[in-house]
Amino acid sequence: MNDHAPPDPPSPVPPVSSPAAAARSVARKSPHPPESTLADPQAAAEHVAAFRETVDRIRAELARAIIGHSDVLEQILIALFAGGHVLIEGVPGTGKTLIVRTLGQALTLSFNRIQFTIDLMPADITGTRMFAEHGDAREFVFVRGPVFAHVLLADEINRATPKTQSALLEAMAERQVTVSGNTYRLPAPFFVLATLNPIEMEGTYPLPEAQLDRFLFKVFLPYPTSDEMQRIISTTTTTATSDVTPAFPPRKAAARIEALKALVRQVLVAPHLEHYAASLIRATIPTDSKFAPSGPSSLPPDEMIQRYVSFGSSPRGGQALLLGAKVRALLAGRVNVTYDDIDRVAVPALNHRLVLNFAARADDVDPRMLIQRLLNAARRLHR
Amino acid sequence: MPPFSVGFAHVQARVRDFRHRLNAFGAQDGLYRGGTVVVVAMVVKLVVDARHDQSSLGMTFATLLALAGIFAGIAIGHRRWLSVEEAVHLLDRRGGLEDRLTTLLSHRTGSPILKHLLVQQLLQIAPRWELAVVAPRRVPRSIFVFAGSVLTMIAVAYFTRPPAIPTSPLAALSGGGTLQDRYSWPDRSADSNADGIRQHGGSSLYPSRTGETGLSSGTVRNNHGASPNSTSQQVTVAPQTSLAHAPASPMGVHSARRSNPAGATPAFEANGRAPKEPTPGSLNAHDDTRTSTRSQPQASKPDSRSGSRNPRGDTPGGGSSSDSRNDQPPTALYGRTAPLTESASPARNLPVNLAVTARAATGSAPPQLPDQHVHPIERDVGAPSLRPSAEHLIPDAPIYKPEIAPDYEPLVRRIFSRDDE
Repeated sequence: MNDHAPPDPPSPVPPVSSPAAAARSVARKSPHPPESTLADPQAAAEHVAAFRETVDRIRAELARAIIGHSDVLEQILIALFAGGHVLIEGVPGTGKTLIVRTLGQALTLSFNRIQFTIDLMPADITGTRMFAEHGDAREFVFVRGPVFAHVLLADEINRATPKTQSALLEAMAERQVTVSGNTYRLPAPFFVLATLNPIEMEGTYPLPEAQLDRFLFKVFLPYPTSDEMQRIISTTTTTATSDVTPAFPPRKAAARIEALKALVRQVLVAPHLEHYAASLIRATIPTDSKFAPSGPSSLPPDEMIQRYVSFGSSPRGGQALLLGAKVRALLAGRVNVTYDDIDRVAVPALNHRLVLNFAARADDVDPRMLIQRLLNAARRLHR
Repeated sequence: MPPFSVGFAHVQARVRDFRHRLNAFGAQDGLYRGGTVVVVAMVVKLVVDARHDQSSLGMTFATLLALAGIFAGIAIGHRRWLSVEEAVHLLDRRGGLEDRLTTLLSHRTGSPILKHLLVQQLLQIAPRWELAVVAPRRVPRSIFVFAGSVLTMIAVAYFTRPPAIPTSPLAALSGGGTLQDRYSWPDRSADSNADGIRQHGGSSLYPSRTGETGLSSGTVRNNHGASPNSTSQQVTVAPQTSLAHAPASPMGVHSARRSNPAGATPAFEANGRAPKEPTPGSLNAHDDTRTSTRSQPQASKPDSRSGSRNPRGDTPGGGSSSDSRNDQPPTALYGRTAPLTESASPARNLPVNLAVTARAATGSAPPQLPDQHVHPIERDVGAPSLRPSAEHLIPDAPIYKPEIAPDYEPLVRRIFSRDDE
């Protein structure tokens, strides 16, 4: 289950008395960059440049171990610095596990892998209380599960029961775990990469919509091209190994990544771009839905959305759009979001949030195609 | 209060200049486009005036067109007027600033942490959105349309202008202008023509039938009362008269003639006889002559605007048509040009005018008019067959009692009293 030892062995975590106290603790210990340094244009420019340099370095290290899939790697990095989690869907053998493991090595962060099976229990993920003897004293101590890591690979998450899958809900959303009435804070950064196997669906449990919504992005890992395939088989069948150089010093990696994540939140977004993102989210909701919002929409109803979509995106989709766009803006050296930034992250941010109906499955409609139609229709909103 | 930044002020100033330039451009465009329509309306009005179209349709159309032009200009200017947000967005797009300015505008009141970095980035790429790059100084293309319309209006005004009417016939005799000017008087109505002839003592030159010579009556009138067969010496003598300083009013003309001791009128007595001192009787004879002349169908094309004319010519004084207008400026006495007959077309006048001018310049005699020794009035009187038809042709017009200024009343009574009765 836990096939990769974390850099520092977990120690018993003192429980936090209440969620509010846990939140205060998180805020107190958040390694955000001081705002006074960002107020200085020169210091802020240095932070932005450092962000680009860091991401480029991580990307380069990933590219040494992973051949191809540059778009997928970029989307994964965007989700990492946006503070979200990624659901990767791909056929077996395309490098899903390799990507996650290489990312953990490049970031110098703790990395755990959980292979989801049908008999996996929630305590196997979160941890459990065990009876332990310390000299003459006998007491229950909390033994942390594999979820206590910076980077968590939930492999074939759809093979576990919904009860086990839901054990990840609190960890992913609240970044904390509650066991036996005690709440334990997860280390920051906490980054979950779950994989889905689109084949062998028999005996699987599709993720509930509520859990899908907690993933910032859903990316698809296609088969490599023939050139990439040739490079893969040529480099992996020799004795040569690809050594990944860490992008950060081991003890400063977490704080450094948190600082970069805080910088992402400072990126400026104009109101008309927020309106644009909101219009996109609104356009994914069919007008005949009983949960459809009232009021006019900036975009006309799309015929295919009306026909094939049962439920549109939640407001989390809008958050994913803007957060991803902010990271893209920083990667481009800007401190402001553009239309193109939003458009580039729209498909991975929204495609798993559209709940298609039976007609869509019968007609083999891909939600990515529906989102692309929306983007084409929304170009008239580009001022 | 947002923190002050020199860079932010610089960005603000550039946005302000950009907006000012584009708004000025839009205002100019609206001005030129609207002005073009207004000028077209003025052209329409000129054409309507030139055609003597008294119907209100043309004027109404021109007025509506002018109003439409004004409103169109305002609408164009208003439509192209940029607000600050629109100007910033346009500047963003033209300069390729990737929504930096728009974002900065939306966060100008707050104090986001990265705002200063955004300003710094904008200043770093300042050459990309220089004012000369994103909004070069230029004039709208509509100025060419406007200029074309103005030129069209000038051309239309030139070709449809009323003929140049001298302020006084005596002014033309005073020696000013060229021979060509003096030989190309504008066409006038028959009455005013007769008045001019009477005033200049050149009634003998008034042709009875223009068709006899092939020359138009206007041609003869263009000779200022001088006989066509008069020599160049006579042509040059005429400007030497002292009548140039005479009053411009008709009454003044008569008084000047009467008080002229030098007898300048002999220059107009082209029949070779010695000039006679004008007497009231002779003037009355001229008046009678005018009366009889006016009854001729060829020479008396009735002017619709000279309604004070007595069609029978038997009113006391006989000159009521001209005398009734003595309170008007001299140019009004001649009124508008009478409709040109076929014989009085300028095209036919031109060769004679040129010939007269050329001969006068070379010292030779101008072209001869046939039957010049016979007084045209006598000849016309001797053609009674024309008189009844002329009487019928002239419509009955109301008889206006002449309004004579009190100062001129004794003079008029003395001049127009019939001594021979």
